[in-house]
This record gives sequence, structure tokens and C-alpha cells, in this order.
Amino acid sequence: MQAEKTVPWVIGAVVLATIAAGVWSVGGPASAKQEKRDKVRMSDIQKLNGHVLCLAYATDRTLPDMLPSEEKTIEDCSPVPRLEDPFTEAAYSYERLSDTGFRICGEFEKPELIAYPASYDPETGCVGFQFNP
Amino acid sequence: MKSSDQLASFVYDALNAGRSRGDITTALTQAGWSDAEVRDALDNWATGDFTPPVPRPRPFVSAREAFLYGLMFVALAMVAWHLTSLMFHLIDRWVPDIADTSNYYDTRDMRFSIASLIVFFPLFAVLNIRANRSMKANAGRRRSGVRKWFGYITLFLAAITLLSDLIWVIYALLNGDLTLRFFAKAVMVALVAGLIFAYFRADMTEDANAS
Repeated sequence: MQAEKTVPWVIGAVVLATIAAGVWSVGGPASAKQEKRDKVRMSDIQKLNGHVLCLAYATDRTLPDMLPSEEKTIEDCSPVPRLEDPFTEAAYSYERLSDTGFRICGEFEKPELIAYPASYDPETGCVGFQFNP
Repeated sequence: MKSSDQLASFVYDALNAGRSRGDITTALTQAGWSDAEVRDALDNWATGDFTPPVPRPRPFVSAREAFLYGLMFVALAMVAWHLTSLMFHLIDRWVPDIADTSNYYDTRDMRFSIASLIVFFPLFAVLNIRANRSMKANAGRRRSGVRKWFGYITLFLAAITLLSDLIWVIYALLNGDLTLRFFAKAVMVALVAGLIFAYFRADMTEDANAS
């Protein structure tokens, strides 16, 4: 008798509390859009990684100092993937760190949610990559 | 003719012929029917001298009820599943655990669970309130076979879930996996299954008292 009166309210309260915590934790539609833009940026950076490796293999196995634009690139490594953030038009930055390492950086809106790749640094927005000559 | 039908028609004929309940019981017991079967067969007819014998109301099955209770059952199952899934993701986010390699936080899963809860929880609540209201208006609905079956299936699943949850906690304890994160998840499963169990047990017990 008692349970039939109170339990439905407890169930309702638990469901509502969980939905509220979920929405609060996961963010609304605006935050989902930010996540989607970050996914595009990460995918651009992965493509640039492939492009850098292509350039390195085509030029005596040395990492390029900078990324050439479409007009100046090597024919083997054409077309050049997107060099700038499609949403903010800011260029992704490429930085050669050593003969075997480089990093590509972008501006991310939800850096704390990016779990992959592991070499991503949420502080700087940079992803480190390796090159084995 | 099924043996239960034979028994029912025999009891009807005997009562119609004016035989006493004691005589009928003796005759049936001598023929080998069990006490429970005899009692059930006699309980189908109201006591009293009215002839022909007056039938008592029996459980019934109706397609409309099957639809309503089926929908309610599915809604409850969806709510239980997505509630637990959402809780698990929240725990993964709030309770850090270095040893747990499945350390991911999937916002898409969480959004899908939230959407499912927003659809199915109000549906379950409305169907449940309507079912309870119609039972108050018409006590005969309590005898619905569909309602009993869905109620007991729910109780069965909730009981299995609670037992499995307990097994997992003991296993994790023995295996050295009983972390705060695991324990929090086990508590959430127990909470959801326990609430459902408590609710349906109260509902079914009331039925048993009513009939």
C-alpha cells in the first residue's frame, strides 16, 4: 500500500535527476555543435599528417619546414588538404620539431572532450606526430 | 475435451442437480482429483442455493489490455535500460579510475539515452496512471491475466538483475576489481532494479489480497 504511493514518486525523481545531470554534463545543442566542429578539425589535422609524410618521402626523407600551398606543392602530394580551419579560416599551424618529429595545431572549442589521438595536448591544441625516415 | 473442462462441466452439472459441495468434494477426491483442483473447480461457482449455479468472475485476456500493458512493459524496459546507461556514463565522467581502460565519455550515447528517457518515461507514467485509475473504477481489471503476466515477468527480470548485480559485486571483490567506480555502478543498478521490484511487488501483492 505504502510502496505503491511512494515508489512512483521516487522513480520519477530518479529519472528526472538523471536526465538533468545528463543534460548538464553533456551540454545542449550548442555544445554538441562545438564537438562536431572539433571533430572536423581533428580529421583535418589527421589528413595534414598524411600530407606531411608524403612531402617528407618525396623530398629525400626530410620533413618539410613549412607546408606549401596547392600551387607550389609537389605533384605527388596533390591535392593539398585543407590548410585552414573551415569554420574560423585560421590556418592550422605546422611546426617541425626535429628530424623525426613534428606537430600540427588548431584551435579547439572543447579540448577536454578530445580523447584521441593520445598525442593531443589540450593545453596547446597541438597533436604530435612521428616520422621514421 | 480438456480434463479441466470435464471437471468444470461435472461440477456445474452436480451443483445444478442440487448436490452439496461436500458430496461433490468426496466424489472428486475419490476419483483422484487433488484437493487444490477440487477447491478451484468449486470456487468457480458462487455459494448459495440459486440454480443454475452462478459463475464467479474469472481472469480474462483482452487484446486492448495486451496492447496497453505491452506498451507499458516496453516503456519501462527502455526507461530502465537508458537510465542505467546514462548513469554509467555520468559515473565514468565523475569517478576517475586509472585502472579502468574503458575510460571513455561518449556524448552521443548520453544524448541518445536522454532522448529515449524524454520519450519513454512520460509514456510509462501516463499509461501507469491510466491503468491504476481504470482499476480503481473497475475492480474486475485487477483479474486481468495480461496484467498479471507482465507484472510477474517484470518482477522476474528485476529479481534476476538484482541477483546478477550481487554476483558481480562479489566477483569484483574477489577479483580485486571492486573500485569506487564499479561500486557506484553496482549501486545504481541495484537502485533501478530495486525500485522496479518494490513497485511491482506492491502492485502484485495488492492483487493477491484483492482476489
